[in-house]
Amino acid sequence: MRDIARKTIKGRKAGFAGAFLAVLLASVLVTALGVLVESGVRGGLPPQRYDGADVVVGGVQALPVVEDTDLPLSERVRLPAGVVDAVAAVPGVAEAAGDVAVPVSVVAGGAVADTPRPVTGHGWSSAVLTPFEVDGDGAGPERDDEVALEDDLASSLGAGVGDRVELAVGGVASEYTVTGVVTRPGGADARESAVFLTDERAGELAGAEGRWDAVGVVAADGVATDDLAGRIADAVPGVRTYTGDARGHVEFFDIGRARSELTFLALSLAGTTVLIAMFVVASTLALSIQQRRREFALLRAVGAKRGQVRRLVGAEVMLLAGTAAVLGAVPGYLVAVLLGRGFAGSGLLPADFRLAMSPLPGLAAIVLCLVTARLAGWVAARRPARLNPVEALGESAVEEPRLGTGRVIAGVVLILLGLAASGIPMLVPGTVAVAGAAGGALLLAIGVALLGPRVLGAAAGLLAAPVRRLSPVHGYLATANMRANSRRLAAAVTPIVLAVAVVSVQLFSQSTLAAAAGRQTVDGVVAGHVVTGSDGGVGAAVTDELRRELGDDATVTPVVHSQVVVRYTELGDPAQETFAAQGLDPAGLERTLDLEVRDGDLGDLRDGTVALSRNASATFGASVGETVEIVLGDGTAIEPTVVAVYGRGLGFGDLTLPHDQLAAHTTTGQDSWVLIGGADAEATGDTLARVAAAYPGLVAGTGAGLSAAGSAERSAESSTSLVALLALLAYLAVSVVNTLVMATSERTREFALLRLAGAGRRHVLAMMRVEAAVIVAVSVVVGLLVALPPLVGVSVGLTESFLPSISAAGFLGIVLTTALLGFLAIGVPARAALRLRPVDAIGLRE
Amino acid sequence: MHTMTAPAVRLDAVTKIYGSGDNRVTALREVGADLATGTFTAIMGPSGSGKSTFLQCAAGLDRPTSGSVRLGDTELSTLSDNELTVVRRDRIGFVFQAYNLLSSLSVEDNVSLPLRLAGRRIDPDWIARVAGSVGLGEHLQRRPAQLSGGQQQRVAIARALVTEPDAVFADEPTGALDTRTGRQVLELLRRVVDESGQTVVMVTHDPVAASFADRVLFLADGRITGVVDAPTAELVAERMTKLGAW
Ligand SMILES: Nc1ncnc2c1ncn2[C@@H]1O[C@H](COP(=O)(O)OP(=O)(O)O)[C@@H](O)[C@H]1O
Ligand SMILES: [Mg+2]
Repeated sequence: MRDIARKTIKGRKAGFAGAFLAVLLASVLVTALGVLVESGVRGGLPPQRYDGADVVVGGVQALPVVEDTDLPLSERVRLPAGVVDAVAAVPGVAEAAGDVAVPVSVVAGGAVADTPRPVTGHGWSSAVLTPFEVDGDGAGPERDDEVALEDDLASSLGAGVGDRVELAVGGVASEYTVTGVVTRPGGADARESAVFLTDERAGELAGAEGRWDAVGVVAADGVATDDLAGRIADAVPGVRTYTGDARGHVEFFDIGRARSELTFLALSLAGTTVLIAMFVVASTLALSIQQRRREFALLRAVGAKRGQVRRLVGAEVMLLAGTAAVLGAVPGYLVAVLLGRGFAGSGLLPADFRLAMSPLPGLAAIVLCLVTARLAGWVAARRPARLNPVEALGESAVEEPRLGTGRVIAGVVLILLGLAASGIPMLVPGTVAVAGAAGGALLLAIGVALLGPRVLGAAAGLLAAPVRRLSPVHGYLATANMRANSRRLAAAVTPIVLAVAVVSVQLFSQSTLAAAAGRQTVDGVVAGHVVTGSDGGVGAAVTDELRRELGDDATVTPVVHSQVVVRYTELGDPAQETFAAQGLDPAGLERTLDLEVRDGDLGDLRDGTVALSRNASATFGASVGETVEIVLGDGTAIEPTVVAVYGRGLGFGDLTLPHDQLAAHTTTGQDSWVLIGGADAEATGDTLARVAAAYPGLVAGTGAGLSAAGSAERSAESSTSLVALLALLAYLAVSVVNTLVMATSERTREFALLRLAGAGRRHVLAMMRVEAAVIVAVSVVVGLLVALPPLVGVSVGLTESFLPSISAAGFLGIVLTTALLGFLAIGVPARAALRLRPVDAIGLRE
Repeated sequence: MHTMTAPAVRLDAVTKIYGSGDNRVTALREVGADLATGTFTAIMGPSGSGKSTFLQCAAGLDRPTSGSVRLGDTELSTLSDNELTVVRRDRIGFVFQAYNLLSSLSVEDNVSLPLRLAGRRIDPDWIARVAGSVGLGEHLQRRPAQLSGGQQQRVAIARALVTEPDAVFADEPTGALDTRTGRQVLELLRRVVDESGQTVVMVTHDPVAASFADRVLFLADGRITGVVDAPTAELVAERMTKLGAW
């Protein structure tokens, strides 16, 4: 059988091209996503500043999750001061030095100066970890107002030993005397320029309070780094050790965040993709097998048993899928690189992020494609195996109109499940419900696909009368055709329906979310003015000064943001998830921020309490008076009592904690915004302008400007998920074209017949245009109908409104793209088929 | 011309009904016939008279609704699908009007297909001999698309003969061919009967084609309405006009 399978594939390359392409692209896509998932775990940057450290010791930067990847913490988990000595005491350690990092701005002439690279401040003792060398007769900083500058920064500022430079953190600037210029090997490629302060000063600016971001270790001669790392981990509790490239994970904290977001994104996309790829591969295989009915009937007639036909199909599929999967894995790595660039462009990943490239994703993709193809082949082979051999005798292959009972039942069950999933948010609020609703789209789409021929027959029936009125001759032929060959058409329409539905749900749930969040921010910011910072944010000193200057007439509300992990029970199982949190001082809040309190009182917000958004409250099952288990960004666990539930969680974050408490557990301790409301607008504006001018890098703006900034951030987020979707979209588009081309080229004989019966080329093309129009119309409408219940569900869950916000541009984009793909994919092969002389074409077998 | 030996195929009171309810079509009504070993039988009749159905039932491609079909001493009507498939593979040869060959397989592979399906060892000499006997010895490595219609039918005949079956069934094997190539195919079938003692059953609507047979059975409306032994084209044509059904 394998032998016949090989020969069949070789002999009918064209017939297998469609299925081959479907598997190949599935392999490309799965490999690419695999690379992204792996990069989320292992990718990043090799260390730069820690390059001279053999082992880097860091805090436990993640919460372990049973049977899943650990949940990363959003803020730097610092090490206690004593860890440096404890590490230094481990045998084999030649030198141990603590490091803290704080982003700084260089100030020149009262404003933030442009620097070639972002500038970060560190304590001088960490200079050995690179190692940095002091140029000439310079020296390291010894007093709190002294600094050593990295050479590129020094030369761009034109500063040398003895000069004074001004450095600001969170807008608060101080002057320092340059004591030396330092260089490092390979400094030109570094991500940032370093400035060195005394350890105490650096710690103070970083808000580290004597703790360390990390401790770098130089091993004694002849000590193996891995052994040393193990010994340190054993000797010092509560730390993690890193060697090799993994040291970069500790050095570049932003990359850690990016990695976990990448993993999350790639994994969430991978699920949908694998399902869709499986479905596309299966339906393409089914189509290509259906096109060869007569061949299988002939085999049955001359003595192939059912099992033999099944084995033949199986062998064909495995051969085809095996080759396609292997060939697809290679470009998959390229696509991963392109996607990585796209993510860098949209801001998800740092531009210098390095993807982890191992053979693993390719192998996984190949295995997955083979398993999929095996299953799909098994399903597809059941039909030809049951074929009546008599069919081989017949002149024309009339298709079997009935759908199998199993298929109908499966289709109906999937549709019901999809509707049920879409409806969950109407009964229970919360994140799971919204995710369930979005997932409902896939169930609905596949259910509709299974019932495809029925749905299509019905749609063609509905459209028949108007189409015939519009175009009597061609319309008649086209609709008659569609009804007679509903199965073939269903195969063509299914991927379009799937594409339209998946894209609509992704696009419009995104726009619904963005619109709702935007509305909430606009409505929620009552303050007339806002101060925002550059680099690390706004320092506490700014808030103090504003309060002093403005007095009691105005409310000054600093807002700090972080991400916290909440532990709760979801559907009876313990769950933990990351949520956005803000820290606020409730005093006078009515003049700056309206979170739309539904229950309880925000005024009660103080240490030991928390306010939750409606969504969070429902997700955690915690209402006013109950407690919530929260792990703050730096790993500190708290269990505050809920004092209020508010409506505007999308705009401002799902949890609201007391300001000072949350700020104490962030890396920088700085605020993202300071809201000012209540006082006379003009006078406040003047005061603000004066204060902001005194703090380099601070910007005073209006409350409305803040909302606009928020929407820009959200559009960056949605462009990130668009990049991710793009790969899936391209895959769907290709499979749409693929099936349409397959279905149309199959009809060469039919076109020849029509032409022999007196239809001109023009007539046939006109008929195909009507058919294409009907296909596009039916699939767009069905696709949108499939998308509607999940979208309504998502909308109810997120915004309490039944109306999802559907962007006109997105809608038009979907319709036009589908129309374009549909007309091209039907028109081009139809023209090609018509190029044959009808008399020759009619003689073609099959 | 033919000798009276035991029948290769025997149909007894075979009735075949397609569909049910309003779509019910009785294609064969209580048909009985003995097709003697080593003879060439032609089945004739107007379109829709049940010729193809007769052939399919006789050849184990389809099962009669009632009645019995025997191939040698094997009762076909009670066999399972797999048993019937094995009978077709090992003991019956087929030639259809069109679409006889797998386009992706060479002539050699098409001819040896039934042996391959049976898992039998394939003897290249034997394949070459069979192909040679139909005049295709030089074209073993060609694909069907590289052959003329007549040549393709001869490949089909070679495939039908490769298992040395008890009977060869052909449904309008010359229907898609011009007169000259059709004639060559008919001569080939005739030779198979004369030289190898094969049993051949052929459906046709062409009196000239029928004249190659030893005996012609006339079907009309699912019944056998007449038999002509040692037919000539004129005799058959005359009989056809007399029956007047087409
Ligand atoms: N698969 C089928 N389903 C329903 N009716 C059939 C089928 N095959 C043949 N028939 C009907 O049975 C009758 C005999 O058909 P057939 O044996 O093909 O006739 P012939 O070959 O003599 O033209 C015809 O009326 C035909 O319509
Ligand atoms: Mg017939």
